[in-house]
Amino acid sequence: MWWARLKTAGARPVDVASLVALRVAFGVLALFGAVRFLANGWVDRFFGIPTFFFRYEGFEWVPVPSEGGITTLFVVMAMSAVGIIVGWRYRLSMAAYLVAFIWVELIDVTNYLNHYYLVTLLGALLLCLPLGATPSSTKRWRLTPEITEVPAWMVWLVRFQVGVVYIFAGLAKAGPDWLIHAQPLNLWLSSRTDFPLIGPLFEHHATALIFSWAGFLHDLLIPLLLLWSRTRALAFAALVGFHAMTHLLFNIGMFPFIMTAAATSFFEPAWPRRLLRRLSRGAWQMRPTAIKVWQSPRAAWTRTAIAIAAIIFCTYQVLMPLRTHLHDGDVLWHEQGMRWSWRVMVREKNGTVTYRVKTAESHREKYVSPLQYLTPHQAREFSGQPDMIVALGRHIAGQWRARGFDDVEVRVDALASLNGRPAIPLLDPDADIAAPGTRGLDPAWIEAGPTTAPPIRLPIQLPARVPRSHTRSTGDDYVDVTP
Amino acid sequence: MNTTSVLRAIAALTFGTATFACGGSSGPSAAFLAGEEARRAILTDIADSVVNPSQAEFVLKTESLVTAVETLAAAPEDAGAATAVRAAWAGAMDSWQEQEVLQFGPAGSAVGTAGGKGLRDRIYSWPLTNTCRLDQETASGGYADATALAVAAANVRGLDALEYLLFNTSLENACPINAEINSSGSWAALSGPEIRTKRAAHALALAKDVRDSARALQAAWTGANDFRAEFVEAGRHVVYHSAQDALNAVSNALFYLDMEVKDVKLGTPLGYSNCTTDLCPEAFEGHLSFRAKPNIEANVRAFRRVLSGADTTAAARATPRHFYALLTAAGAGGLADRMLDATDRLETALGAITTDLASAVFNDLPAVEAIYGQLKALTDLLKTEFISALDLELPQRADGDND
Repeated sequence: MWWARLKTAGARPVDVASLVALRVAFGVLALFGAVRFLANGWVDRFFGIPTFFFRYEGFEWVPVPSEGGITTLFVVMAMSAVGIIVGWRYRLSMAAYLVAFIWVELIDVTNYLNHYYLVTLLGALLLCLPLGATPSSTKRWRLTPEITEVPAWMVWLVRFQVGVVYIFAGLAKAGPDWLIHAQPLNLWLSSRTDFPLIGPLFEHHATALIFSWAGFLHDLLIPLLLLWSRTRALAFAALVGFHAMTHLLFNIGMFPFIMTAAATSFFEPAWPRRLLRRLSRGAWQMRPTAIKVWQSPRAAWTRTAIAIAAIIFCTYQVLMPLRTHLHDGDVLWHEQGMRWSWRVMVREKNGTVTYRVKTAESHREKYVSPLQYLTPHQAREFSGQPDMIVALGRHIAGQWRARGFDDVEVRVDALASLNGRPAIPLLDPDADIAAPGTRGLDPAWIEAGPTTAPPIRLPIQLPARVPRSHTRSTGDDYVDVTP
Repeated sequence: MNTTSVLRAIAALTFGTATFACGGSSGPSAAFLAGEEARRAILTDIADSVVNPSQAEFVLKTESLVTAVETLAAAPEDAGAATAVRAAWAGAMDSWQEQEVLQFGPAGSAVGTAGGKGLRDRIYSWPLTNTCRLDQETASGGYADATALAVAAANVRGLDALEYLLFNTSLENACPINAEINSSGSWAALSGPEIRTKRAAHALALAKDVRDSARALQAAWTGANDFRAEFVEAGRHVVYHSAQDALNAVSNALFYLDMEVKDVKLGTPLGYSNCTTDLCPEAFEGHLSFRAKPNIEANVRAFRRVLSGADTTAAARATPRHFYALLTAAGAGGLADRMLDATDRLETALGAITTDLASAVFNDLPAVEAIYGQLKALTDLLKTEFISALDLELPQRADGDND
């Protein structure tokens, strides 16, 4: 019975306008993102300068284009984004955008960002939806949607995608570090005391605790509050405020904008028409000239295939973030199942890695700095992630073997500090991570994570007068250091 | 006020109410400084007790160096003058090595350092010294052209170039056989005394150039441009967005101990990088003057001063200042103490070697490796807990987005 009701509700035609608005917003952000990447010279920094790339397992075959090739891919992204915005050759544009985007993302794991993953999923979803536009029969310059009404399940899928991100981001915060110790927010906020008006409060642990709980409750509840019409407007206002704060406080790029745009899908599907009508005080009626309802495929097997694809998509969305529970310990420490799980901004992890290489020819171990192979950006990203540490170790072993050394053994001193705790070994310093017969990271090499609570960062208070330099004068006279 | 500031203010007004209600007053008492003001106080202290005295001392040392080189130039065959000029050079180098750890603001690279003017490279560009070019200039007398010298590449000027001219007793040149000064016979035509005379004159030109650069660096901090104001009032001017930003610049400079001292000054000679044999002692800094160890000691001394505002651990603990004070006030006093202890151990390891490092790698390799080990222990703290506790960024991290 419920299945029949669900099918009926899902098949109900709804206005395509909200999805078209999302398509336009996606295109605008995609265009901005591509232009920003080129304008900032990041092609060179992230792809031109590095000599070693961390490849995704199973995607090592993806070719690494030259710097010019990467630039071309970003140009393709920008041009495709224009097609996405206007809706012309929509699917071709979206497909081209996704191919270029995914290609670039697959080159180096250190460039992984949760919002890049979201762009990929959202783009793939939008690609499957009938959101294209065609030139009007009377005015060739004017593009009108090919479809004006779509079944409700299409809107539901988008909402599901958005909801999954928030709920798993909320669940990721459900731990003592975040909810009890307010870390890492306590660390991050305390350095942003220059923030207008409320900056001085950021040094206080209580502020971080309030922000931590607000973030946790926001992420966990916002999909539900957006679904309920009575709370929707208020919830959206809170969402905009939340993302505005994260944008202003943290360097998280396009993520706040993407999430804000995607969250509009929770509004009643005709909201763009109503908004434009209201903004134009009725001048724009914004009614479609003709109703064109999306027709589901006639063949039963096609309909079944679509249903199965949707179920697989949703199941994947749920299982992927949960896969970390196959591993013991704290995912923030061992990082297994960390990627593609919407654990956004939940850890401050700083590591240091030094390899120790021993060969049959040498009587002593030699220290090898990762900076011989990585850019500072790559080194920063990889230093807390065991799989990448092992990958570079194996690469180093390969390089030494290629130079003619025999019996190359690579061990690693990898220390990491999680959420301000004292740094402890992340990997077994005695394990030969490049031993013949091993393939990638052996989870047994990962050391047990920290067991102590993270420290609380206290508000800094310094005496207004400090002693004159010990280094240049023997006197102990005091000097006012107030600037 | 730019767009971001306006947005920040709007967001703060809109969403700060609840925080105000719950957070209560944050104002420190009049006897204490908090937040940005506390950081600015630290910056002021670093500028006035470390940067400015170091620069003033270095200017004096370079003036003494010029005087000594003038004496040598007047009597190139005078062994006493040669000894005196080497001592003067060592004094200047000692002083400069402290400033190697202070490469923020005008001393820093013109590309990539906030407020950077590239003055460091004009004063000292090791390991980029081009000894063949120096010999060519010596032979041709090109050094006499002050205009050309003012725009010369960093690798033919500075204290490293001076080291080559003042400490190199060989009458051979460093160029390949097919280089012009060898193929034309212009070098071979010079007698020993002529070479020494020309080297002394060349050294005088370079010493004056170093002195002028030292003065320029000092003037950049205190003169009309007044970088000190930018630094101590960070967040109110243009170079630094906030006091935290300026503090991050100082923190970046401290990483000299990791990227330069550990990885280059020790890592390369110990055969860990850029060395195709088991050891590369010729890669030690100052291998002509045998000053690799004093240089590292000066680097560590400056690191300690920036870290704690004192020359000894006892003095630092007695009166917390600089990063030590910040860490202690932030509740990370344990880390601050461990950093001082690690610095002590590093100095002890350095003190355990009584010869120059190039000899020590053959006579007592474990002792040199122990220095590396202690450096690693200290810089491991720097790269992990230190930047975590104060929410600082690692140096040279490319701009980009998080999460």
